[in-house]
Amino acid sequence: MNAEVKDRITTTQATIMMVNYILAAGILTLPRTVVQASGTPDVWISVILGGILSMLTGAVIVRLNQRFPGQTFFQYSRRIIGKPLGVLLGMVIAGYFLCIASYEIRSVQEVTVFFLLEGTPSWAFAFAFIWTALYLCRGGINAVSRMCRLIVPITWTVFAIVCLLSLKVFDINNLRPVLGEGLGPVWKGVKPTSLTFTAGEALFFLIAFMDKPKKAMRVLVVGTCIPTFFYVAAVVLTIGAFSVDGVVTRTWPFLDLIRSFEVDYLIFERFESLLLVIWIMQIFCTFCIAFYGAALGMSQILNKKFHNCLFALLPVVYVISEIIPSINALFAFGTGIGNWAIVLFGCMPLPLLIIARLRRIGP
Amino acid sequence: MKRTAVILVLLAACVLLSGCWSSSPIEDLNMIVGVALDSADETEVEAIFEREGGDYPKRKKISCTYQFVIPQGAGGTPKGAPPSKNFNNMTETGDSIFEAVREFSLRTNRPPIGHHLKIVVIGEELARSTNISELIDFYARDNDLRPSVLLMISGGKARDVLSNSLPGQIPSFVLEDIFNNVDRNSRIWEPLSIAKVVGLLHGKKSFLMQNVIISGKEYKFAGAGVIRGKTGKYIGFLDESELEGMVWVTGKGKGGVLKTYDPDRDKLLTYEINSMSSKIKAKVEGDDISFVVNIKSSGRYAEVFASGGKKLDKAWVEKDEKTLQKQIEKLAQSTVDKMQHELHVDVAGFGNSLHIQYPSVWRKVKEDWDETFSEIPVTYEVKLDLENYGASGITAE
Amino acid sequence: MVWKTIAGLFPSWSMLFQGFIIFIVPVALTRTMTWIGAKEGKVSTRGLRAEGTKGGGVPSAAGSGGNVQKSNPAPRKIKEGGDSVSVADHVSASMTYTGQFQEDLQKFKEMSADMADVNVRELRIGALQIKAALLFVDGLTDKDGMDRNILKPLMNAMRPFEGMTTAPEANVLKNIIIHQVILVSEIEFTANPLMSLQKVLFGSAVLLVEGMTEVFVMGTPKGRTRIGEEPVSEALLRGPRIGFTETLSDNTAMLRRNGQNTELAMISFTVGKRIQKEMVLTYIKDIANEELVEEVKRRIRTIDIDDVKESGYVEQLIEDNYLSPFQQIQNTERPDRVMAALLEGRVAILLDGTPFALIMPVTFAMLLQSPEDYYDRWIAGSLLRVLRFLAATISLFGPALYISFLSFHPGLIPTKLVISIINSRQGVPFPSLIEALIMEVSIEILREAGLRLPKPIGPAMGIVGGLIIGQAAVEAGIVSPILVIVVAVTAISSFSMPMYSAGITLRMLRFVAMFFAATFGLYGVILFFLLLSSHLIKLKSFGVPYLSMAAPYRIRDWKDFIIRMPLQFMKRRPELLKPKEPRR
Repeated sequence: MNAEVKDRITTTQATIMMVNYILAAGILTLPRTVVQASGTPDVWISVILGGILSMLTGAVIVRLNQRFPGQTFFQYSRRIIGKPLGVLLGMVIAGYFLCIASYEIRSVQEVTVFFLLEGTPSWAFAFAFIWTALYLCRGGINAVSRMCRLIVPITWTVFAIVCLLSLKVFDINNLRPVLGEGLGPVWKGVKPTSLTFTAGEALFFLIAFMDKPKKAMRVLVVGTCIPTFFYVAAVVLTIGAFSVDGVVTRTWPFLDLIRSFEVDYLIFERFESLLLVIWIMQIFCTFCIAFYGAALGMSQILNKKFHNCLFALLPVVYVISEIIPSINALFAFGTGIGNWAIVLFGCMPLPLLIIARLRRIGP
Repeated sequence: MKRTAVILVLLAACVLLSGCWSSSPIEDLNMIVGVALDSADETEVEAIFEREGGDYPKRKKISCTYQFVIPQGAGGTPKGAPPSKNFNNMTETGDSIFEAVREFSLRTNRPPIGHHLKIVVIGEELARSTNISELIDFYARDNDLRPSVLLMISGGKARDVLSNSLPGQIPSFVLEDIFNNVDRNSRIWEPLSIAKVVGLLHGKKSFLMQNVIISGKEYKFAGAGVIRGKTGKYIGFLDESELEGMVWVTGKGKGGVLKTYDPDRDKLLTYEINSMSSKIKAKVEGDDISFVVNIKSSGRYAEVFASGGKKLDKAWVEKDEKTLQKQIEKLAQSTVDKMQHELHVDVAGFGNSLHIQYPSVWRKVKEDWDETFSEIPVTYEVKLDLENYGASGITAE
Repeated sequence: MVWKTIAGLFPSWSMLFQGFIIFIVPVALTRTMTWIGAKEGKVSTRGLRAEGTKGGGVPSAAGSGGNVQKSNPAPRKIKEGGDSVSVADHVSASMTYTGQFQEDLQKFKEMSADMADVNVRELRIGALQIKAALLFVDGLTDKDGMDRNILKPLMNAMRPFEGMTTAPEANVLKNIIIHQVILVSEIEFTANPLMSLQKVLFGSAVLLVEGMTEVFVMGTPKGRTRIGEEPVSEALLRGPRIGFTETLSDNTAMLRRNGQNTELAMISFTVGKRIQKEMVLTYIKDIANEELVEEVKRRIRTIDIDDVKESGYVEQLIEDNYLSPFQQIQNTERPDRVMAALLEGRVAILLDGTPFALIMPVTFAMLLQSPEDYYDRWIAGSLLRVLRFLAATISLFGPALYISFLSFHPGLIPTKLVISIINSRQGVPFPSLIEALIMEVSIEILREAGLRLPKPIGPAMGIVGGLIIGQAAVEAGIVSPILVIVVAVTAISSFSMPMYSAGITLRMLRFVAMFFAATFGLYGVILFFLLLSSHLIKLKSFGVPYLSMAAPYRIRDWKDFIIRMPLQFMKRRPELLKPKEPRR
């Protein structure tokens, strides 16, 4: 239908996009949100469980997509449940992507303006960010995926470095006893990970671009495992340094972890600059993917040109990100998106898959 | 392709807005490197200010003393000239620490910035009357200040700690660096950063804070102040040797000296610590809780006055080891005694061990742990290895 | 209550206005660019651009969008044994000369069809006017000697044929020519056209005589021609001390000598409308991707200009994106570099009148590579390459980071460094941006001035400028000593680029980075990096993504990116070029 769909990405590219999409704003706040919900040091188990759950829901999405090779969700949804419902569902999902994009940019703005650029007006910050993203997105999915590919070695190296350095303040006793409170609190910690692990939805359009859609399952598994590993590392290290009681008092615990030590013998001495650099890059990628998804969905639903949709969504994404009045509202917005994700991507694909099977649509 | 044009526009924007929003030249900043918090005690300067009308509504509770670095000028001081004082202290009394910082903006043209704050010294008097979490709230919340800031307590006036130093040195840096000597002396408690303390305060756990005392122009790390978790207030003090015992109980030392006298000959026996470790084992039988502290150390003879012994002699070495083990036990015992019977707090992590080893028991006792702990028997198992006797094989004659 | 919340969420007018701005600016920009593009499309002859499928790789045939690896299967199976075999496939029908002069000559011409430097000189031998042809490669053979010792005796050969009216038997004729006519010491015979072509390409002259099934192969290699000295612009410690010259035939000959391979194609073009110049497109037939060659040919044909003075003209006229600050075609004076590129599957253009050859396509990483990386052992080579990447980073971001840390984030640098910076900046009257601009601009001027000055004065200029001005500026308190260090390190770093023109790009972008840093601090630097990356990601050189080394499709290509793996491991040609024969 659209020229963009002719663009193809390889399995590796898709995997890396997936990883970049999942690794996002959440990494700074995740330790706090899960600990608040469960109150034990065992939340790293919750994070792993969250990863596995999101993999399961993702698997349904993969199955669904593989029935319609070369088509995005926005294109095939109307074939399953009829045009009006399909369009409506497509709009909801496009709106979801838009909200994710807004959420990401607002989080990066909150952190950066607070720690780096006190006094810079938010519009200036957001303009620069969104325009750069627009420039990248105009290059199509391939440009976005290459950007992910480009920053992956940088972010992973830096992440590994800061994590290793933070072992300096790590105390294993803060993580013990393991399962001292039993499994109950661990389950409670799973739900807050939903925002962090909003993974499957990217597959709604990623698979359509893959040159070998058969391997989508691999993309899902690898693409979820790697971020899970990162998140677990972040949670474990943060709790190890702050203890459960300390983590809940920090707004951005992971960033505070990096800020809580100085290494005299390395030229940097303080490493939050490095962390913020890779974090901004990472969010840039997530933002681009989400923004791309929203624009793609809109263009395919309304049958408009992709580039025009990109432009049209600019003010929308900006206004959504700016009407959030406070940081609590931002976190509430994040939780809302997480719930939305559970409904949309945890519960919805399965009925769709069953309907598609029953109606024998697809190959 | 659109890039060039994008850049052009951004460049134009840069030129129009140059000197933008958040930028401020580094040389115009007033770097805060140390803070001393005391109970209200106005300086003369302040008293005069107040008389002249420099007053604002406040409850006089805290005197904040900020230490700033004075830049030395591009060329540095002329060679040969004695180094001039390179720091400057200013005091502001009030109730809000943040307001006090901003009050400095009326007193100096260079805005204070906290990025490089290294140390917060709290006066004993203030710590006794105020919850520590109130005192550090600003430091834990502000965006410039890092959670790596270290906290200390001072037996006397904290302000005096920051005003004394050898010429050319900045007191805050000296205090921070003394913590690095932990491998030289075992009477230093581990540095307590804000990152660590927020968890302790929020979890209502008792903890220790390194204490510093002053005499004239000099200061010394001496013992540690004890903060009770329930109230967050200073309740007492472990002196130097009790702190040493605490280091042995927790195994947190990295090196240092252990001195004792040979019981038979009454001669000095000094041991240099290479490594130490300790494990606190909880034992639960029914409702009875008890602890065994398992201390291990290895090291070498540092200074031995007892004559006649052949150090290669196994029996001799074992005897010395016994002597030293006893000394360690004695140190540990006296510290735990003080915790249990005088201060009624647990700052050595006994509770933590119980929590890890018997989570269910811990849930029952954690509410009133500090009191419960006072009644619990503690035994010690010390194992010490003398591995080496240095370059000299004989002892002093 | 609910309504109040919703009403409270309604965006304010200023926010809506900002939303409008965020929309209108890029739209306006895009409109402008489209307009410029339309303008350009009218005046330029470039026409369609190559668009690779998958957004990367060499343009492949329409409809092959599915699978990369399969998209260009070698049209004919290439056997392991190497090049001669594959050539043999070509001419297997006629393995020998027949003795029919026209036919043989035609055969030879066909074989050398895309080798414009192979010359054919037809002649008649002596009194009997036997048809013959002398085949040689321009520039490789000693033309003087050939004229004197072969052509002249052959044409003047009256005496040996005295008393003959018809051409003698082939054997007799052969003996006569060897024994009595030709004044060349080195003579061989061959009946194999392929063999003879090889000989020709390696510098011999081949004489084809009517009625003979064998040809004369005469060793007439040229003596020392005017060979270019070591190129000034690309000095190497280790490597051939030879560079291209201004003569096209010399240059092609140099390539021939460098790589004695019958598959080395040289296709001649004439460019320039008023002043016509010869240009040679060279590539290795069984390696280079056909579509790439076709694309280059197509673009060369679109060149429409009065005179091509230098290969820089060609470069600018055939590159993909003329608005990009990055060069998309590599230029070099070194034959070994060209040869290495050809073996990777790239193509090169040589132009008469300039020693600079053009290599395309190129990726960003290739601009940071030097032939020396391969001549040295791999550990040293890799280290140097890492060093160069570091240098590129410093030269791009050095002053920008200085500005952002000093003006925006004093909290992100070590305390002791902050104190010494504060101390050193006491009394400096300018903000760090202005300060950095002053020093950067003056060092650029110095560099430019040093370039124009006669050689003996140049270094003195550098010393005067670098040392004295820097020192004086610090003493006068205009700039801080730290900045002088930053600027000096930056300048030195930009010199370490093996490609001069790549260095220029980085120098230019450094100023842009400084402005970004002055607006947004560290965030601005990151944005600049992202913007630059976005641009590079979208940029293509002849269908090959410019950043394909850094963000490759295949991990395999990383072997030769930052780390140079040992030669034993580099068995594959870079996949991004889609060579016909991926294994070495």
